[in-house]
Amino acid sequence: MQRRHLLQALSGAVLGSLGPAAALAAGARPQDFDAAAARQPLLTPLKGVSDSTGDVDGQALLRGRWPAELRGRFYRNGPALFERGGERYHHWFDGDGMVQQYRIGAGAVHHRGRLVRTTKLRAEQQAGRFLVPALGTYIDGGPPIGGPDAVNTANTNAVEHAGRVLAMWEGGSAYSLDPQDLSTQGPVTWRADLAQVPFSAHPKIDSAGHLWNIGTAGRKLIVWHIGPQGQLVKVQLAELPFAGGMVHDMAVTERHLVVPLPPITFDFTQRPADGRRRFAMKPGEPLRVLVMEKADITRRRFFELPAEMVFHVGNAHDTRDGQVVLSYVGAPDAGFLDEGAVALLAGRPFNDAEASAKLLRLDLASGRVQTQTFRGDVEFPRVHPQRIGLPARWLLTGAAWPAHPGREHFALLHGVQLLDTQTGRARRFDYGAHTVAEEHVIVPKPGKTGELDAWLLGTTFDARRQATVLNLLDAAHVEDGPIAQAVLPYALPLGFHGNFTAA
Amino acid sequence: MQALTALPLTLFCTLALAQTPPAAAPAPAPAGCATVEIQNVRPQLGTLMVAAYGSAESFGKQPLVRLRVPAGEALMSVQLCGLSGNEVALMLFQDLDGDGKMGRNLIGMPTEPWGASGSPGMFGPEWGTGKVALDGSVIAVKMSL
Repeated sequence: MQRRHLLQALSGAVLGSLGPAAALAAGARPQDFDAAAARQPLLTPLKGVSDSTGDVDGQALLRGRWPAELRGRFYRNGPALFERGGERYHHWFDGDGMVQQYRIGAGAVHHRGRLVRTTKLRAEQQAGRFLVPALGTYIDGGPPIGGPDAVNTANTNAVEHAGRVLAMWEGGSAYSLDPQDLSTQGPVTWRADLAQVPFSAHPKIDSAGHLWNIGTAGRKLIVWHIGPQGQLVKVQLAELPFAGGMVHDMAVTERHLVVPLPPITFDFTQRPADGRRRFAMKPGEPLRVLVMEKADITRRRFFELPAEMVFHVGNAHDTRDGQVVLSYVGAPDAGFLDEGAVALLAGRPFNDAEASAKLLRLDLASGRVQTQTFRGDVEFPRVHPQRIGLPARWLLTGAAWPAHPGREHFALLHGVQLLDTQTGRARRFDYGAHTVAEEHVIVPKPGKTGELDAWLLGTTFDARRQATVLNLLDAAHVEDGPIAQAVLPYALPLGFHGNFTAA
Repeated sequence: MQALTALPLTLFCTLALAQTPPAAAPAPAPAGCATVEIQNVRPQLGTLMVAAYGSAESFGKQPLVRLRVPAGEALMSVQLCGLSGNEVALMLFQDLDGDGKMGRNLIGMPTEPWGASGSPGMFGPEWGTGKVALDGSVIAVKMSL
């Protein structure tokens, strides 16, 4: 048996997702987390759901003025099931995915949440225990791993495209859900020979409905182009100079794909007792930014920058003078990935390094790079959906700043911020000390195209009410806070990413 | 998994195939035979391809015996004969699409279930983790998720 080949085939994002438990920060037992959350109510949504509480429907209590012309479906996804058979995952990213759908319109907001019925979830539900290893938790005694989808939690992002909801993870297939009832239809196989090929969680959809995405496995990079009807247009393959442990997001321009390749490694042979880091920045390796032509990804250029961890891009565009401009959020180390996300699930404080918004000007002819850094601790960058791949002045993020003593130890955002990338000035709103702010998205007002002729839509967790709240802000008046809120009669697990589809 | 399919599929060990209901207590295996209990079979889909190796040197190259069994229930019990020596290591895959080969996607990842005797770990069989005593006891194999 060519074990080496299996190892190679499963390497990279997938094998990387199978690392043993964190070394420096031991994971929590369920009771340890419960005790911590009792002291810090901001953490309670990280308790997660069970098989029975992971399917939930409810009607929100509306406050403020919900505009009649705002109608559509807002989806979010995130890790939601963290405990099974008395065992608790160690890492926030480990949990099984749960897709949330908010139906907005006709004077009401209805919420529906469903666990994604992945192969993994169904097998573990039947067994009554975790069977397969997760990103940050080593699970022993289960069956061999047949391929990426055996460990695919479909827990990172959700978007409606071509009539179906795609629930996406980083290392395996997207799962398809029915937009009507959120029932899981199964992993998407775009072509028979593309079964289980990684389709990562941050596709970009242009205004014509073309979806671009990447996937990585070790040194292999896959570029996906899916047409507006959901058909595979083209798949391209490339080799990378560095077998990145986490290639999380990508940007598009009119001509190019732009992929940050942070120098993150996974040591999946490492066991908890070894006392070494599981995720680390590889010394001496730069942050690479790969710019490829959409039409032919062999036409490409790598830019090398000082080492940095990058999860998320904001946007990119081509300039007339041969530059690609990329906005993204970067952090000086992999501390959140390696320790912060472990501490959160254990309910332990952790001092996270600040992640900042940055703007790169990448000169394709000379290879020169200009970097602009904006002050402020931010994450979850988004732009106006009609500006994806085009110049966008305003960058929307979640944000944290030293407004609430004690909170800085929990790496949870409390505000929302619109950054003017031309002036560097930011407008922001503070949801308050007792609130966790999640990713917000920009929703254009019907018939309007201006970047600020839009609403901001996003969820918060209100620790005093122990409820999840859907917030609507006017992009032109962020500082005023929500113009309308929909308060759910329950709290949902904290999620990662989502998208709005207009009705 | 290529080693499993390298030899012509006509070389199946025809005398070995004897499927027994999993619920029944396995009868003592005759000399040179072993009862193999296979878990996690995708029920009624395609064929289980089994190869048995007798040494580290021959592992993945020259099987003592190979066997092809139509997939039955999720838990199957088969008898494998033609074995010799004190130790054996089994490698299996479930040929779902009937092409006789372990399925792989564009980037080489396996797309059909595989399994091995012993404690194969998560990522593939090898002699060291796959070998079990050939002493009449039942050999358990879990097909991958």
